[in-house]
Amino acid sequence: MNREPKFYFQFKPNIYQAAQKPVIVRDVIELSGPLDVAESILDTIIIPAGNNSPVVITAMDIVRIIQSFQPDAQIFLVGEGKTLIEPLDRQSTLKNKIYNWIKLIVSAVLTFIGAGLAIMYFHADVNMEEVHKAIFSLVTGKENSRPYIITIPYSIGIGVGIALFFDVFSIGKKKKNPGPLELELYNYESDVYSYIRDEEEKEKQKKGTG
Amino acid sequence: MYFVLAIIGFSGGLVVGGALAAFLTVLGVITRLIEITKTKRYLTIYKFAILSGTIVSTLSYNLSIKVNGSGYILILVGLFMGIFVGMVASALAEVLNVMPLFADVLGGAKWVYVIIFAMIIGKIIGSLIYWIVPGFY
Repeated sequence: MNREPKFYFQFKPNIYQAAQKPVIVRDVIELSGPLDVAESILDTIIIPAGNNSPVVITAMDIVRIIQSFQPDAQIFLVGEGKTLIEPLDRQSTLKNKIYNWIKLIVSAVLTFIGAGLAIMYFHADVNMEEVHKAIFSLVTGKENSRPYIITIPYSIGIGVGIALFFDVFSIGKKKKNPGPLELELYNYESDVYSYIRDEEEKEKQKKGTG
Repeated sequence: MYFVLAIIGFSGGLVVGGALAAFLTVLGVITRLIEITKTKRYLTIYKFAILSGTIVSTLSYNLSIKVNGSGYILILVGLFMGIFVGMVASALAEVLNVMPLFADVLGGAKWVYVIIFAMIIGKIIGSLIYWIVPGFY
């Protein structure tokens, strides 16, 4: 009885193309099937070296490659039907490093001054000095137009509050639960990822029909 | 006529109280606090704390109650006020989605902590300048 060979494949997550290197099928999918054919399929070049724009690989591209080796193959897809290959252009030249440091310092100074200004605006906006004076006279029964005994601990407390919120005391430790910042970053990155992937796919389909 | 005034006052309080509770919930300050301290079981205590804090402060502010206590307790009160305001400020910054943008520009999440430290020190110094340097209020 003649049985058609079965192939199962699944896309790998987070694929990056190193500069000056081609992407082969092995980098993109996990494949299960007859060993001899599978090996030669996995070594096929799918994106040539020197490419430096994101490329979408759909399940149909993989199906075509497998069929070119084994026309009577039965092919099954496991999981999502497309993936994005992003070029990795992290050349750590000195120029890039300096540029990155300048960006970091400018952002840090900007945040530093902006945060200080924002808290002053906030205090002036909500008339906080009235409240501090009221609390002072509530507790001590005396009047004081500048109750430093509240305002200085209060100022330090603001810093502690921010540190608590972002949980900066456990930086570097392996955490199981992500903080709000990690979650926000994760959501942002996966949004960007799916946007680029879907846009690239649209472009590819246009090219295919036109 | 006094009855009408009482109704007006009560309605105003109802709206402001509801708004305050909604504001604290939406900002996620309380949820974050529960998450850090892992005290989800004692949710009722948090609710009671919000309720009692609001009532005590409103009553003492409006009835101008005065206690002749030691001033040193204000150090603790001031510190806790600051911690709460710091958390609210961070929660607001979080809602505005500034941090992921910084991470994208700087190319990595680890650098965002430099930005957060800049923010912490900036807030402390800004606040100290506001309260200590004459002329701001």
